[in-house]
Amino acid sequence: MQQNIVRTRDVTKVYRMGKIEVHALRGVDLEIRAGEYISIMGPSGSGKTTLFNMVGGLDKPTTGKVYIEEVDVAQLDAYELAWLRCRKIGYIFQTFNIIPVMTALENVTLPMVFAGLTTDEARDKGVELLGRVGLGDRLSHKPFELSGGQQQRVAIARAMANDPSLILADEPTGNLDIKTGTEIIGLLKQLNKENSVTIISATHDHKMLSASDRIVWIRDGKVDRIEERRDLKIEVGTIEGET
Amino acid sequence: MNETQPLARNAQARIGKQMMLPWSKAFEIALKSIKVRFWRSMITMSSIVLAIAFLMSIWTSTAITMSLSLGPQREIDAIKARLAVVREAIKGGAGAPTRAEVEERYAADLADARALKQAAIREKQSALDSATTDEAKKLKDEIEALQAELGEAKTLELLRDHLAACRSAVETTKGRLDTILQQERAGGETQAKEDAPPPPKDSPAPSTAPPAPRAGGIGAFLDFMSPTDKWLAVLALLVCFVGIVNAMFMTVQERFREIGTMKCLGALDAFIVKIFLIESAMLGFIGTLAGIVIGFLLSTVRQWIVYGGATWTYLSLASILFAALMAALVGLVLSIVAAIFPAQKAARMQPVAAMRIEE
Repeated sequence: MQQNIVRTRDVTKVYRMGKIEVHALRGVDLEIRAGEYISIMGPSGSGKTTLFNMVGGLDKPTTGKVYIEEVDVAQLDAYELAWLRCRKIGYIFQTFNIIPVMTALENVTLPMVFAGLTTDEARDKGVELLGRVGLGDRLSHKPFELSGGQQQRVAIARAMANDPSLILADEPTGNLDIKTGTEIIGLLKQLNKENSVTIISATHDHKMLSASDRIVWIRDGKVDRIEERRDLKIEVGTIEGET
Repeated sequence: MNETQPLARNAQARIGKQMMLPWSKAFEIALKSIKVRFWRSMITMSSIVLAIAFLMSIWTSTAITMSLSLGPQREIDAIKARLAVVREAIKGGAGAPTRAEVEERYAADLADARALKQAAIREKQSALDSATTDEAKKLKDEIEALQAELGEAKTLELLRDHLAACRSAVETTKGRLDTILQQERAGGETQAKEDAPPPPKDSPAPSTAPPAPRAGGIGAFLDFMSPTDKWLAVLALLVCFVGIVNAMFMTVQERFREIGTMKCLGALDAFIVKIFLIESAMLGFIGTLAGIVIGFLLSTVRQWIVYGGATWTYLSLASILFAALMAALVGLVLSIVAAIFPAQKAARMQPVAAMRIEE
């Protein structure tokens, strides 16, 4: 049996906005296997982002359990959570979030420094990672000297810094043009295959669908349906046909 | 649920605890964020530069005023004491110090006195060359008289006359300084209380006279600051404090994404707090140093215009260093304390903040 990297059990999340209770999630059961490439899709306000934050250990459920590598996230203290985020999970953001005061290389080595690597070890590994994402010649560039696609590549190298078992990508192509977006998806897929790192991405981007092993559709705070890629081939056609 | 519990326990053991980063890394990051926002940092810093410059200028002028109002009296008292000893020696009698003792004790004064006499003799000798015969005779007599005063047996009298002359010179200076001090004081008070009439200038005005000299230190120093100065200094520091807090809160607000990202990458709350405290402390340190130099220069230039060369005569380096040290302490503490709340706000920011889209 394949190990589940993320597992949720009847997860609900209620936000209180003044006197109104907003039920963002209404009982989600989800199992994500190690090495999978998962896309979470759904319209705005469907609870997609909330679920995404849950499985990334960024938010705690109101009721229910979230297990990351079979560890109950709610049981962890601040130090353990930081440890988890540092070593087990890599984050990729829609807005790239490269630390503006640091060079590409320093951005990539920062999580390694947080993990306690020495400066030399971190440097070597950072150079190697930036080479892998195709930025070997831009080590000492500052974020504002890089294009959006290049910044996202730095972010991907940074997410891979401590060899995480899980990468969370929040709309990774949202701020990129179609061509660059396709390249970034290709890069993520490549990492997914070569390092067998699990990738979970929340997205609106239909280009993402063909790269995904499974797609989780969220509607009204519940899992609407989960599609395997083999069922999808036809659907991608129809979507493209419609638009 | 029960069957998953032991499994979760086991897994829990695999999770380590994130450790704290060394100060050097926080220091490095803080320095970089100052550099990258250089002009904004300069503006933040300018508030502390101005406040500390103001404080330092007040303290410097306080130190100078204090030295000018207490210094001459102290010098007069010292000269009087020496004079008394010399007079006693001249009078002679039981228990009186011998001439040799006095010469040894006040060797410096004696040397001064001799140098002055010799200078006078040289001056008269050079006047001899161009003098008529009558004048030359008179000058020669004077030179002889002066040389007689320099004689070995006359040292006590020489010393006495010299000290007396010194005393009256210092008394003249003191009188002049006191007049200026009183005018300054009166000027300050009329500014503070607009309707208050200036005190009569020719009267001794004991009410506005400086308080009796007492043991030095902070107490005496603070006594010498006028209430207006104290109030203004406190006000300047308050404004500066609020300015730093405001600027730091804005920085935190602006950097939500950076802070959120750092937390996603594994930064602990304490590390974020460190970064902001170090940043503020660094700005505070540089700003305070600049403020001390600027305040000192501005204040001494002003005092020099008012009192002239006498500004430096009685000023002790210790009192200026003391003022600078206090100002440095105030500036550093102020900039660190002002950063505490913004830094805590930054540390409490959730990692989810990194996901926010809006600017």
